[in-house]
Amino acid sequence: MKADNFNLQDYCARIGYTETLNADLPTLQALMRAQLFSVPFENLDVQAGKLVSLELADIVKKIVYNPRGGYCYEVNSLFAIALDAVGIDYYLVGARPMFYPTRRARTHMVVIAKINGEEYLCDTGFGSFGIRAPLALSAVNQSIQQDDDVFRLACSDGKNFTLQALTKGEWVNQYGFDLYPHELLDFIPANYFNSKSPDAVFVQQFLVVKHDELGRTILSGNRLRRVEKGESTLTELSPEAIFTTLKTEFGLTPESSV
Amino acid sequence: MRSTFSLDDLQLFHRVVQQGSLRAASKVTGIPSATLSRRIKNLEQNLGCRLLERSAHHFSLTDMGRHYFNQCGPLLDDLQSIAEDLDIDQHSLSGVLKITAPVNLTQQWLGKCFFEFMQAYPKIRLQLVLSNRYENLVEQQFDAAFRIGGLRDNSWIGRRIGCINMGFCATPTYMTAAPTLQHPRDLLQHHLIVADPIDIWALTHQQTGEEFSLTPQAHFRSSDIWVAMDAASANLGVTLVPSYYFTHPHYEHRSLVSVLPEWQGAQRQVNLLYRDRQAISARLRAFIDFVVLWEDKHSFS
Repeated sequence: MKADNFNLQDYCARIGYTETLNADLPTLQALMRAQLFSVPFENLDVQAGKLVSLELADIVKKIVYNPRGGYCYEVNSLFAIALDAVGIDYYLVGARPMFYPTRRARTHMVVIAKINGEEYLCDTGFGSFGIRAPLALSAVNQSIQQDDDVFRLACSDGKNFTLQALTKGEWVNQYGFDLYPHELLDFIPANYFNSKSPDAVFVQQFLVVKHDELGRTILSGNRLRRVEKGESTLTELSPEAIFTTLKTEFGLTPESSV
Repeated sequence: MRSTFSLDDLQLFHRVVQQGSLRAASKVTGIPSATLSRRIKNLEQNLGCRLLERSAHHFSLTDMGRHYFNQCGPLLDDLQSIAEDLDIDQHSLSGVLKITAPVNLTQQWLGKCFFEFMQAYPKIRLQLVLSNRYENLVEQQFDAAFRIGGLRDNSWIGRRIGCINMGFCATPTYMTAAPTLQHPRDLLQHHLIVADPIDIWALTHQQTGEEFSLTPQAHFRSSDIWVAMDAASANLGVTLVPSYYFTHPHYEHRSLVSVLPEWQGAQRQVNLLYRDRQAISARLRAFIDFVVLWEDKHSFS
């Protein structure tokens, strides 16, 4: 994917990436972590009643230059554009979020990058328990430590994968996917659902996640959760404190009434 | 004990006894005698005892009524004087104002405004709580709050009193030895000094409107802006700080110069917040008006 207004140098400045750029695994790993640690997952536009744009130029302008975050289609599209610019091969796949009590549609979008014949799951925008570095698709059914988190890519048939996270000693399903390549426009219905449906969690409440070297900070509704070294602390916020927190914790300025 | 008697009825009873007759009380209060009589009966019913012995032309107090009158009189006077005090308090330019404001903004800029306000209104006492953190305005009973950034809570009234611009600075010594710096893109090659919590630099070119954003890889990071300025003064690199620091008297001693002067960080509004546009006290009204006027003359941006 390419966007006319995408400039690799500006993208690197936005995500604070100062290493060299090559079409190799160290670059893929460092790029994903740099974007994950600097671009928050956020649904401020949905909360403001907008339909999120999947136009690549809009995504680049919003995240690289404004500078905002976005939800999965936006941040993972931006990541795909960057991989394209670096010369790393990739394709998009649809993923089924699995932390809901009932089975849901494949509304999540992730990137599968290809380097030297090996494929890697990349995801810079999952609102729940997201991976923190690329996961090799060959490393299935084994615990993989990423910082203080432990993940597992469960797969029994060689085709269908389930990303699991170890939470309080138990494997919890995050999302399932297969490797059928999608185009970004295949996610237009899912994007509409996530922007406009009263059943979509993004429509119901603020959902903002920012990862950093030490852990992650999650705002969902009025609950601010900080997860660091496996320890989790929870704070309940007043409406005004939500507003302040978006600024101080996530660097975001929602449209204000003043 | 019945508790549902009306304070109004009690006041009317008190007034009737003071005046000595229903007719005299009616003249003073403008309330018809029949109504006064009914209200006192109502009070007696609620209290469960008779206060007055009535005859065709006059009344006298029962023992219970006299006792009640004597006990209640001073309390009613107290209530009256409390209400009058409240009125004076609300309308006079004295008493206490409790205000909260950010630490740095007050040290660099707003402090002077507060001191001048104190001189203009010597009877008003100012209690200032300085904090860079979110303070609960209601629980801590602030009359007004200075806040950087917007506000979502519609129960507060916000008045924009200024705007903070963010600019880059470094020492000439650092700049001479460092790579060229003509566009913020070049900052990637520089040592960067970051003052938390500003961990993303969203920049705009003042003439062209070009936008550029940078997540600075901090060479030195400090949670205090003064320390970040000190680090820049020690030739450690380039920093982005509120430009009102540039106008501080100490700034001249710091050998820092503005770099990338045409590029500025995201502007942040300074708002003065208060509640209840109608029931606002005279001293708070004086304070708000003073701050707004002062800001006009002493804008830092």
